[in-house]
Amino acid sequence: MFRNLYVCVLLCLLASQVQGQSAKKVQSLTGYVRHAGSREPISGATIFVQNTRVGTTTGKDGFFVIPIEEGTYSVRISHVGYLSQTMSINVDKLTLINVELVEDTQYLEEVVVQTEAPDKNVRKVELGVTQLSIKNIRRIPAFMGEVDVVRSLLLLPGVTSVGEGATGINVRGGSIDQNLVLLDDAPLFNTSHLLGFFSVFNPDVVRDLTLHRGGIAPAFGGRASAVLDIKIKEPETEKWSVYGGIGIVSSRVGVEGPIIKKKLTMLAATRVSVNDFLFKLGPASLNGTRANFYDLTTKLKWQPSEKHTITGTGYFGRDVFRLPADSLSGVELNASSTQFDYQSLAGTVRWNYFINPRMNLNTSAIWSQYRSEISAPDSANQFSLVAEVRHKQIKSDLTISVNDRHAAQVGISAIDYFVQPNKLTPGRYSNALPFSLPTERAYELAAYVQDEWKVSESTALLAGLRYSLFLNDGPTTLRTYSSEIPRLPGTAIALTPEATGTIYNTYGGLEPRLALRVNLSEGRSIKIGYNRMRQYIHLVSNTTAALPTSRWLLSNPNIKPQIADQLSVGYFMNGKQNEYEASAEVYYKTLTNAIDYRDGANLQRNPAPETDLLQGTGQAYGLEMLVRKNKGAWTGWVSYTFSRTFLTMNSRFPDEQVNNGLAYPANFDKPHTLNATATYRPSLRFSLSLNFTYSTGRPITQPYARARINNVIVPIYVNRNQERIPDYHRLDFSMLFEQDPAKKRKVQQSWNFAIYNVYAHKNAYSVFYRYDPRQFEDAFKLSIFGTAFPSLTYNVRF
Amino acid sequence: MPRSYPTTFRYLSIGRLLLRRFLVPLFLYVALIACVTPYQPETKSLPGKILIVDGYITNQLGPHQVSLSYTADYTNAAVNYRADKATVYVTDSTGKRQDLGEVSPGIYRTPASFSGVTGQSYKLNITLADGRRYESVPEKIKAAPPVLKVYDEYTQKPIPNTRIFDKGFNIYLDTQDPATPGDYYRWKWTNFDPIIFCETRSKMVRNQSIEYGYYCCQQCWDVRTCTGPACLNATSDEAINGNAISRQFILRAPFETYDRYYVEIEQLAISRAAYVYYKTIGNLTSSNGGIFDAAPASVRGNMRSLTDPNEQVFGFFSAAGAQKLPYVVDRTRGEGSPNSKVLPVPDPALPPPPCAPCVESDYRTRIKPRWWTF
Repeated sequence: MFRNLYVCVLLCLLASQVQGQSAKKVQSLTGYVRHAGSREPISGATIFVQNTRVGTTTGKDGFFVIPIEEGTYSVRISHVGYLSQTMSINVDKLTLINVELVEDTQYLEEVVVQTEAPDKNVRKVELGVTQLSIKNIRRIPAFMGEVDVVRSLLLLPGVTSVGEGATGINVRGGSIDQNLVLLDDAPLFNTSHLLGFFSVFNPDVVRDLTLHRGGIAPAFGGRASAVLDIKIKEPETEKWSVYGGIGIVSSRVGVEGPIIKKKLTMLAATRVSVNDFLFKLGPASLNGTRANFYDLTTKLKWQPSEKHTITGTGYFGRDVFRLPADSLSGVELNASSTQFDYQSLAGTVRWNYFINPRMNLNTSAIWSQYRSEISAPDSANQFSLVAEVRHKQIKSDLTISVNDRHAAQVGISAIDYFVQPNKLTPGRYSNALPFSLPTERAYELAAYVQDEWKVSESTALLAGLRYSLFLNDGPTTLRTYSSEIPRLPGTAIALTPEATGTIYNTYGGLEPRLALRVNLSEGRSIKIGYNRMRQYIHLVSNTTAALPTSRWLLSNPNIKPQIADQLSVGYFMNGKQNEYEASAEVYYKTLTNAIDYRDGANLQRNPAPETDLLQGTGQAYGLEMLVRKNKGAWTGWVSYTFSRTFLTMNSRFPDEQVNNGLAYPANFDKPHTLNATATYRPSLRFSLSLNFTYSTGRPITQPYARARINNVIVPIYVNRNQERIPDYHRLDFSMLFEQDPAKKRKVQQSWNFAIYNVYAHKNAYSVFYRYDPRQFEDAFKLSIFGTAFPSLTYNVRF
Repeated sequence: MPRSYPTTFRYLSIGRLLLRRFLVPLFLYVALIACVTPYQPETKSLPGKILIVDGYITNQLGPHQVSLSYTADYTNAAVNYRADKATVYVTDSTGKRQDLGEVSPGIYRTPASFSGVTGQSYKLNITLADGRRYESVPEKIKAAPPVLKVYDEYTQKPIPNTRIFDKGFNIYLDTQDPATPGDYYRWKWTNFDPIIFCETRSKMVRNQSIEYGYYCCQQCWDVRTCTGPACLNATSDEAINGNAISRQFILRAPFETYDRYYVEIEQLAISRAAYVYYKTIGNLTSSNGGIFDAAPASVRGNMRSLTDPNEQVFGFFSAAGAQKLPYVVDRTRGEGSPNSKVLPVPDPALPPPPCAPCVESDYRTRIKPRWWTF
């Protein structure tokens, strides 16, 4: 009501002003917008006069008024969830129109359409970038009803993982630590809950995620393979709302709204797992097992003036496993229970200064910490083993629109790293002895400049250069090794103590980034991208999938930074008014100083981890093809990826070779991957999704022979990763029942029913050998999700 | 009060502990749906059989043993053949030679009088029956620190899904690591259990099979040694250098009778190479191919071929300083009644059947254990 009055007054003023200048008479175009069929008024519908580019929205009663000069106009009436109407109206007096909008049963891209052009994939300069909105992710069938932001990425071309339940993802032949995972600019060191089964991101508050896997912009750096940029949504500015959901695994609740209208808004959402009862249903020996996680995401947005916006994002996530001794009967190394506890804490404060329409300055202070702890509460053997990584960062980016042809961006960043590798603290009466690995400290400085240049109507170039500098800071004891003998513990030829505050080693270099787009014709383009990335912090683990307790390690004089060079070429095509899009990309990537492990490495407690590490070269190449249908009742995509990843660890010492110095497939080398998802949405209230995935089995090392040593059968392995587990395939299904989102309701509810692994295929999780002379079979495969998993999730929003 | 088992995490790789702790329950967590099905991949074979060497000598009195065998395919049906009729000897850094005689096919032993000398390096030399020759990298004997204390603790815990308790005595050891870094240990034990029957035979008596025992002709002991992956588990002083090693778990003596339990415990000070080797093997045997398992490593060891430098040979010859001492568990301290062991009854035939000889083997001996005083 008030708003209508306001609009009225404003328009009257405007009208009187115009009147003075022009002879033409100003009339009013008014009317009602209603729902076709029910004839309920639609509030918030947009009325847009295309000739004059003037518009308004309807009030609660569906009524609108636009003062307008006499004449004939083309007017467009639209609203989310309805088919828009364009009509030609002749205004020569006070004109009243009644519009009935028909529900659009096929709209899907409600969010995407507003934020980006439909032909973005063809027109934008970068390649290898995929954005998924949370609405799309929600329709992907979820495992045990948990909408999983990271798992949904596995459906994209070029993204794989080593198996179900594995932590992290592998992008274009990169190991999991080569992905920079940013949650509103704060890097996260662990992205999974319950090992790798669920992701740490609360789907209620994620706005979208963007995966950059080729042609990475110079603003990003510090990891070699990919950037996963996850944005938390902006808090609602108008009214308070509460939402939540109940699932088998976790339950969620969130609140958001304005504290001071339009000035200060906030959002807080939490997720708590409630799956302990699953263990109670299990065998008696599992009764004492606890596995829980929770996380909390908050965002505060303060807009003191038009020019300044300050946002703060905070994230805390924690997992606790407690395992009773009895679950391991037969293993004679038990405390009465062991607890694993790992937690991430991250926060960003970001100041956006909108200097003028041409310049925008973004400055952020970022803090991220990851801590893992293993502890035994027994008084006699009490201990706690703690490891910690801390990342403190300040960065500033300035974007300048120089003119129509040039858009430049410059930025600087400084990171302060602190790593506490494992540190054991015994309990008060414990027999355990304390130990502490020396802490690591370093700084990573970077500066970059970038220009997006529209060379011609059809050609655009994005050229950038980043320089990164890595400085190791004391205190430390620097170990120097001779190049004449293999590196082993105790073979250091000199130990040099470095005091606190001394920079004892630096690494650095340029990182050129280049992307070129040439439009061939309407809806067709070719893109070429090249980028070099340097990585100074590494997650080292000699297991196939890294554990949450795996060790983070900084580069130092003995561990060189990993450098990736990638060249990619892509062909992009949109058809039928962007209803269909198709793309094909090829990439070739080399990795310098790729990390792998010496046979029998023990990285957890090694004070000289370089003696367990090997550095060599890596090589990855592949072809990614995607066909996507964006509109209509049926939407979805099919993607096929061919990709190979090889590592070569060669040295003149046989001890420091893997596979005799020849190339071997990386743990996550899966040549063929096919993904297909389809969503059928006949109405606004119901959608049905199917998702099929097929991939080659991951490489394993199969024993070639057995030896009997000390009366123990020992498998003999010859070369790493030469065999594969059986191929993986699975079909998922989900149904989403929603209430009409276009109708404003006090309470919005939705139900999601999903089945994971519909045809209950027993996919191999691992292949192992069991020696039992009474058995005929020697080899077995373990399937952990070898059956269909139904789940039901209830979501509500006030 | 039943006590919990101790955590010997210091001596076990945290990573491995974690794997077991994380994974086993994780699998159980999804056990409701997890399933194991036979899966037969193509059997891989090595182009030829590879020699495996396994043995060590110490600075204690012998006999010290080296066993030679060949690799076999990784199937249940395959058999690891012994390498017999080889010439095996050790040489020290002065060139002094000590032969190892073949006691049974593939098993070679020094005389009981032989002992290594601390500070001296030893090398194993092998000439197979077909003339191929191998040698080991020289291994230096480093003195082992004395064992300060051996003690035991009675524990019992229910065996899941049965009414039976696992009753037994955990034997621990305390020692002192020397101040120098780079000390590596292994512990071995040998249990001698006196027996009265040297032979058992099943006889059908009134359609019932009865186990009859036949008395030994002389004093005789069953010999049990540590077998299994746990015995390969070597440890290092990385984390505890210069400190006491306390509550090192050695073995669990079963509570199955009130008789004394006699065990000889050997503390070995091994080289770093030996430590890495045993550690690697230990990891290999506990791997189950899951994604949270350590990547399989290849076994190399310290042997090489002299006849063909490209020929592969596996295994390790270790020379270690040792401390050997007896320990006797007084099993009358057990709680409740012992978990009874089924014993055969003497054959009631008349005249009494002849006695059974105590046949010397890996598992039985008539040589009185060194500290046997009972």
